[in-house]
Amino acid sequence: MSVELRNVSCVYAPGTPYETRAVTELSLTIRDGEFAGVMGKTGCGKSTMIQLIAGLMRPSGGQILLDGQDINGKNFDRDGLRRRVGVVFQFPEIQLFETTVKRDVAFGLRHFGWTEEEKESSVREALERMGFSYEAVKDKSPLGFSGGEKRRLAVAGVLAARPELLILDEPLAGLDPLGREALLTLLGELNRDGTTILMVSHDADTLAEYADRIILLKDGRLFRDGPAAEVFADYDALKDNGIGVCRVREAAEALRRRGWEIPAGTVRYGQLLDEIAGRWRQ
Amino acid sequence: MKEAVQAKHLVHTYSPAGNGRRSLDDFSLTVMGGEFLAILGHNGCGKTTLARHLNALLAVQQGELTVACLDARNSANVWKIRQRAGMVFQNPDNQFVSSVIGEDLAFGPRNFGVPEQEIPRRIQQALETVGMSGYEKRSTHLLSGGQKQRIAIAGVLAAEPDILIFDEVTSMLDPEGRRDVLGTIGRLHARGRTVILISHDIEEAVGADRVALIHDGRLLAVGTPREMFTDADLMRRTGLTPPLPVRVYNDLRERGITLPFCPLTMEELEEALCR
Repeated sequence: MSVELRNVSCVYAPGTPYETRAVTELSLTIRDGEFAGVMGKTGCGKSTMIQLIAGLMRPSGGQILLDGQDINGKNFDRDGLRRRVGVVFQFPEIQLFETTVKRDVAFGLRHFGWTEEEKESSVREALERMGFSYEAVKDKSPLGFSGGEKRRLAVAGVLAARPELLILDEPLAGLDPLGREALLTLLGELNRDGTTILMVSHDADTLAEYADRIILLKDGRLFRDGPAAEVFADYDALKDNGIGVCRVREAAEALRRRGWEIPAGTVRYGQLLDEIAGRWRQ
Repeated sequence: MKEAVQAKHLVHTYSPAGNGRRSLDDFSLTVMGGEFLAILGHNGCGKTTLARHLNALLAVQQGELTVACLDARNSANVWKIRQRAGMVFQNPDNQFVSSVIGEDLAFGPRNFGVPEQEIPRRIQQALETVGMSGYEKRSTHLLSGGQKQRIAIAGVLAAEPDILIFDEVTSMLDPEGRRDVLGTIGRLHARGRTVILISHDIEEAVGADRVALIHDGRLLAVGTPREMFTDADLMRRTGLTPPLPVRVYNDLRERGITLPFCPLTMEELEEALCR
């Protein structure tokens, strides 16, 4: 699913002393099938942006188009939007509540008018997508799993609706390295099979490795937008604005300062290693 | 210096009736007073269960535990232990009891029966320590994530504990907030407090005096960050990714390049490569 923001602004509590401009004149396009990362400091407008895209809030100005359709337009199918756009909020595992995994994952499907068979096959597929064996987990309590597993169960609950756009807000927070790796690999596969992914994260290293591009917000405006190699190349500008770059880029910068000829766009670990090995041999 | 924490053969299970999994299994560890100890391990390894014992939020089921030389098995010590060992949690928003910062900070000391005239001094001192003097009358919900977490730390400091336990306190913060909070933790350690830092981020543990690796409720190994992070076998067994400089060192060696020493920090990496 493609996403287009046209000059979108969002103001909280307009006309009151608490008036806050969360997002200002934001324009950008996410192509169908892309894996886009969203970064920026706390309060930069990331959460507002994803809520606007998911149609959970209306903008104060501008338009939001999904597959070319204005989601706040008169004839737009808002019910369809809820199915086609899945949102995984922060710490989604706290929302697990049903008695069995199967019931929990199927919960969001109740009002889609699907048959039992359709629901079951969708739940099965969602659980398998998240690395579970359907038969092994379907009758277990969702609360008896480990933290990383619960996170993946919660994502399965969103995937069961077969969304075309999956939005994730800090999906890695609190996960250990193995849990992160597992979730990221599964998200990568999902993306390869056609789901557009929009992932909000503070983790610049992960976004540099996995995302096709990085949308960097600052004070509610678009600050940088492009592949990680481009966005993180401008090291000084990011530092001056208090934005953290990935560790790989930090290491590359340290070596560049020492006169090593390493490209400013070195953002992935494999790249860094190749660059160091190449220079060392010389 | 005295032991701040001494755990001997601790066992804990959350379902004592059945044959539940042991969250702590014959766990023994000593933390010295004034030490900065980092605890690492995967989700569900028992880190948080251990932290809750140190604050007497969980009662000792089996084994021995002393915190600040107080026997945790003696229920008369529960309040004293909570006063001596303060705990800061992951989500700053879940730790506020009042929307006014000064009121929030007064909550701990008031509960511990600190005289009312003493409390303003404690609040001021706690705010000064976390670098937020003058915020007494401000509101908690208007703070950034890093500031909130520093106020949560100040709330614990107001009770004047000797031991501070941080349970994944940076995982919800942006890089700037994280730097803020880690800086505060470092300062507290420099001023003589015992710091126990539980984290998933191995880079945060690089500055610790010692690192304890927990696996399936047991203490797998404990030693300096260098000893722990450069031991490839240990890292694999605990499912941890070593810090970037160590990874570079290991992977270069596999390509036939051996650096003069194994770097732990970015500065050391620079030195190892440029020497």
